[in-house]
Amino acid sequence: MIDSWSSATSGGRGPVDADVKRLLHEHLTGLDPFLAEVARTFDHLVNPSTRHPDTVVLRIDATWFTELLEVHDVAARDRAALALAMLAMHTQAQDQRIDRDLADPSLAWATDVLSSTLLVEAIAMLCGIAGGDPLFWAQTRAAFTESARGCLAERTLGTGSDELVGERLVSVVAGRMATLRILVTSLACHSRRHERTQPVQRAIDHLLVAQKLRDDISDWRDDHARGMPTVVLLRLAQRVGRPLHECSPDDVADALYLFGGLEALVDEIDDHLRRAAELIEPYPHRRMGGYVKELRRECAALAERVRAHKAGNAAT
Amino acid sequence: MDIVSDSALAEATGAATSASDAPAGLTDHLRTDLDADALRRLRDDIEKSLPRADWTW
Repeated sequence: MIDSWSSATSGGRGPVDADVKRLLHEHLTGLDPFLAEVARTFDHLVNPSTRHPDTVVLRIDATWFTELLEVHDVAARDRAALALAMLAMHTQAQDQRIDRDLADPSLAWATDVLSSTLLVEAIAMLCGIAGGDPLFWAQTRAAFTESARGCLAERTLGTGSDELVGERLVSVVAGRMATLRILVTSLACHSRRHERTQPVQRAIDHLLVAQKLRDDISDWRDDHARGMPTVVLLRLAQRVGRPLHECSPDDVADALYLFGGLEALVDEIDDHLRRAAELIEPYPHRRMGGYVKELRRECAALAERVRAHKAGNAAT
Repeated sequence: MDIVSDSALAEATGAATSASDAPAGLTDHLRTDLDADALRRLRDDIEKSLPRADWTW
């Protein structure tokens, strides 16, 4: 039974990751042993290289949703965790293929086939959890449309005149990962808590935006080198006062670390986390609420560390 | 160390709301007023001290 994940900032991988991997392997082997072998070659997608112990681990956890939507059936909870793992692996495989980040380019075709299989399996599993509720398919179609819209918008970030703030930011960043909403829909159909679908999905949207911003703060040098106009880089270019493509790495670093960029981004992240917390407040939320609280604390500590450095009394 | 405050920065940039209406060379201008080496050291120290974030599933 899948019951708990490691804490958000522990830096380690909890025992559940191994459980999900075991379930994934068993499931794929049941379909076709060859598929399980292929999946094994993509272990790095779900099992990245060892992290520094201080690394802040950003995650989405199936147990948040089973708690929020009060799904008590153990088998449904396990299947939800497995479906989420497959959706995540599908998304990561696609991202690596699209960004041409595969260690071996000849894996592109295999990646495509595997990620498609994982998607089909995840949707089939979630459909089973939903128990034939017609809302499931309507919302699944809507989620794919939203995801396509988000992907397209993401590719044109920084080229339009629209400011990427508020609802537009949420719709682009969270829309890109809208397939996660299918999991929420499925569990809400299962427990017949349809009225919770929208607030829980909105909470996840805000959490996704917060996590994306936090992740982009760490990755800004790589993203800048690759010419990737992330939201964080666009915010910093605005602070520098030049279009992003005219900003050097030094300009971006100054804006981020010296001239208030990081503090402003932390405020923005905290605003999204606060909204996520408010949205789940009426429902059982110990798991997701605890994670959000931990992330808020981490972000506050991040800004405080920068302020301490600037004040010249940073702890060594 | 004398670091330009956020409000002073906002004033210097004219509270720019987009790249197109912000003055060019903002960072260069500030560098001439501050000790560039000290600023660079501080910036690097801050960057090194911050924990990284990473997605997992």
